[in-house]
Amino acid sequence: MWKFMLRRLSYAIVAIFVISLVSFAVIQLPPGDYVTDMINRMRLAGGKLDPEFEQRMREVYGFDQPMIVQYAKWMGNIITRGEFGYSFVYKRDASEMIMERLPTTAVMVLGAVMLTWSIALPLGVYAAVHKYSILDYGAGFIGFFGLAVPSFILAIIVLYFTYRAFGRATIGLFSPEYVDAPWSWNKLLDLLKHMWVPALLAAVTGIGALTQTMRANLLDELNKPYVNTARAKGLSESRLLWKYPVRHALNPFVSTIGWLLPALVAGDVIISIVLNLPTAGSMLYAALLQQDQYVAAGFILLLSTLTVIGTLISDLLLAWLDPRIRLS
Amino acid sequence: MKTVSRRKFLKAAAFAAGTVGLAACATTAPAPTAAPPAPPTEAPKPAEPAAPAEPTKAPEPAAPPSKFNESPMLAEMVKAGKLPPVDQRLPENPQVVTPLVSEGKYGGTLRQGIVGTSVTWGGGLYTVQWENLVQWKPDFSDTEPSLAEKIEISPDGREYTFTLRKGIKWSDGQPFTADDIMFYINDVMFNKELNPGGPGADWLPNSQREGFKAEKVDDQTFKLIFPNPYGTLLYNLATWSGRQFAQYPKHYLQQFHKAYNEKADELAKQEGLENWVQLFFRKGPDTWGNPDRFMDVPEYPSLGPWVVVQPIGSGTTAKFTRNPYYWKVDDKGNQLPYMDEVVVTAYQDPETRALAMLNGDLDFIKDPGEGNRELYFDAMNEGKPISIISRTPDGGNTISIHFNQGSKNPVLREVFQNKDFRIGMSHAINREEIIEVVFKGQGKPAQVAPLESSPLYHEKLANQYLEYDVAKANEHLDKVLPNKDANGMRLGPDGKPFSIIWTCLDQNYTGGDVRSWLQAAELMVGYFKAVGVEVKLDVISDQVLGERRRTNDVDMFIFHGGEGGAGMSAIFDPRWHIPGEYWGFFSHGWSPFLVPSDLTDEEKANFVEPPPRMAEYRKMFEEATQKTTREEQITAMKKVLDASAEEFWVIGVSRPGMGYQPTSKRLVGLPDGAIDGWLPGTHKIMRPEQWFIAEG
Repeated sequence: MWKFMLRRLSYAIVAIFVISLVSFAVIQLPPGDYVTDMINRMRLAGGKLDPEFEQRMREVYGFDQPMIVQYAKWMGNIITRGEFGYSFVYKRDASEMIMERLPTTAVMVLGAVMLTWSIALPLGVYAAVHKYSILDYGAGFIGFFGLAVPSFILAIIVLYFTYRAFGRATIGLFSPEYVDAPWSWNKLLDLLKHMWVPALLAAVTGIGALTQTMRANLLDELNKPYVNTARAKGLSESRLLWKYPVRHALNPFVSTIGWLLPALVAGDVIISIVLNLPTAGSMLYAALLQQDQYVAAGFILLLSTLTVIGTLISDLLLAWLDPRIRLS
Repeated sequence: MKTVSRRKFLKAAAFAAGTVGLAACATTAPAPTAAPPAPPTEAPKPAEPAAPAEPTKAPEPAAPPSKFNESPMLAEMVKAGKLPPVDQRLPENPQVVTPLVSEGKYGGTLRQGIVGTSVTWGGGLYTVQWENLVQWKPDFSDTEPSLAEKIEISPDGREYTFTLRKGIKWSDGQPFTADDIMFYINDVMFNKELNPGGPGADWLPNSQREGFKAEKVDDQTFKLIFPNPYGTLLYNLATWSGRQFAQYPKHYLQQFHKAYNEKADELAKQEGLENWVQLFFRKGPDTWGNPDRFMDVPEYPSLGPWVVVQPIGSGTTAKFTRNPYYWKVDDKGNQLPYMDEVVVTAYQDPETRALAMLNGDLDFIKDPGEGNRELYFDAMNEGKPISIISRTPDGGNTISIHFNQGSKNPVLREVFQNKDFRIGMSHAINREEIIEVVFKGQGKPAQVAPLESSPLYHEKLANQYLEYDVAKANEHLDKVLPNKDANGMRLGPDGKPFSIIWTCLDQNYTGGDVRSWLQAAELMVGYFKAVGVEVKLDVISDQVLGERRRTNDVDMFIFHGGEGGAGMSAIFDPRWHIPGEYWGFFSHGWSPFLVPSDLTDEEKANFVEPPPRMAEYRKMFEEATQKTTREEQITAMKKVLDASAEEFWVIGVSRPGMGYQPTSKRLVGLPDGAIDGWLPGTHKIMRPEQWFIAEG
């Protein structure tokens, strides 16, 4: 087991290194850089600038050096100083900004995931046991609807209805008076008032896939000979359902826990943009648009690292959950 | 209550979805409305300079009643001994701003909404920070003194003597003097290490660099001496180009400058940088006078009405508080600004910001977007606390169409340079239909030219070749491209099918309504096809455009036709009228032969030498800028415009209608019909320091 763990860890480190190289290269691929973006913004506004300024700025920011030198500097700073790189847009280090946005994002995503799972799993089990019942069809309909309609359209619809119903659209995570206020009960209540929108949206869009996967897996399990044997031996229906089939049906979910980690950090980017939520994901999006290269690269590296770690956790969990996997 | 119809809602949703999909963090510029241009607002009379006051003496124990009033917020700080009294904070002769709407009252917070993460470009620049030596009068007709109280111009137009108001202070209480100006010019612009390529500044054109010097006369007075007459200097200094004179607080920046601090290099190393040059640009403005520091660094001294106390960082709001040393007063002697605070909130999407405005979360936004006009008017009519004022666009045209006459493709080059081709293409456009479909019926057909209200108005330039006439279009095009294939599409002079790639930007950060350009371009592709010319739209990002620019790979371009419309602006932004300007794609392929460029020799090989008359045009324009009296400037510029009308450089579509500006009902002080555009400083010309909160 220890050997297995060590081997997996060394693979992970190599993977992360390769990912860092690739992500840095990919960020550099599109034409132009932060200076281009900054200067274009000015020029579009009508400002006149000499081309020589542009060149000068590049030297100041170090964009004129070859990519490998820039990469080495960036990596060196991460390893020696824990700095992910200077954000040109925010004039600070990228790691600070990511950390600032992490808590809200994580809380939001966790809330959404818990809501989704607590609805989808029981619903999936029920739908499998009561195949072709009204509730099965209903769950299927709502699930597929949520799956089919893009989340941002739903977000716009929700905004519109809250605007029409309450006279104000539920934008952001706080009312204006609480944005910079210190934490208090009222602020928490205000947060909950706003939180339900993204949580609900995430739930509506996520429930469909989860419910159907659960239902299909469980149906497979329920027709297996061991279930019949158990039934023939007179086990109660509920025991029969929960003891093994549900546990086995959970495997696919456990193996996707790994993807939950990066999602916790990033949040749903499109919903964040529409609802104006200060998630880390929307920051990454802005960084990519503005060619704020170190922030973007640092972010992608972080997300990839989390994915690798998450996969590792998933594998260990699976091994714990299902002895059959351990043996193979 | 008026409900939104299902169709309208779906349209709005699709619109918003489209925005998200496009990933446009673009804001759209105000575009046309119904009303005919309103008469420009009455310019308030320039304030009488106050009688020269005695120099302030140290206050006696029983101080005399002060000449000026201040905000209660500051009065309390004075009482607590945290601030000197108001008379010591203001200059002897503060700038007097006559309220544009009504006398204001102190207090309150301006809640401004931006799209994207840049407080500066989202609109903060024009609210809290930007100050110049001279500024536009509120009707954009001319400049008036601002930081400088007196400007003397030598008869030959080569020597300008500026006298700064005595006793102006930076927001940290340190005096603003000629030393700050000298620091900017001698230690930054002309510093070999900071600017190895020589001085670069928008207000110092290439033709004036060799032999320019600045001299300090005394603490209040300095001279700018130019090698050639420079008649348009004050216009330039009133625009964005003049920002740098108020951006360099010497007492703060000298610690990062090697000439004043020997340890500057060590300081840089501590910050993880390589040398003092990098440090200086990180702590002070970038080479181009980037105003971001005023939004991000609380300790950076400013001359603006509000100073940052909480930068936006990775959050969503930035807070600004009043500058206790702000050097302007209203006509009753109340120190400005009226409002205590400005809070800027960032939104990630223009539609979300529009909803926040309807919620009543915001008081002011820049660029509300043409698509949302009905939304705001409906909300106002429903009784939401929203007011809407109109704004007069300074732009001469909604859209300009460029054919690159220096194209690297010899066939296209030959065709584009033929004026008949451009005349034919202009007659092929159904402008009335574009106005109806794209601009909601606002505006009227026109070419790109100064506005009727401008002293530079040029009848022929504005109105030639406008009528939609397919027969006439074909007649002109037949002279250039007589041969057609079986489908009636024209063949080039080389006998091959003739086709043009039409480049359009996919998004814009400011100052253009790309969506409307694209809609109009789609229609025009059809009009051109109807006269046998094949045009294919190619929508690209501005980064890609930047690359193609360098290799001369843009044959046909669509852009706004703004700037250079109102007042005298054509003389300091001649981009549509002379070859070689940055956004003048009609001459892009000639540009390195007309103006300095940073192209490599390899890149330059893609460009072509222009006909000799192009250099003459540039000379003509330069002469116009050297004239020192307004009449001479107008006469000389008219010559340039005559040539522009004769050459017919760019095709225009329509004069924009009136723009609109929604604000919350509680925000007062924004005059109706103020000129709107980059050169007047978008909303700076509405004097945010005299806006105020009416209640609450």
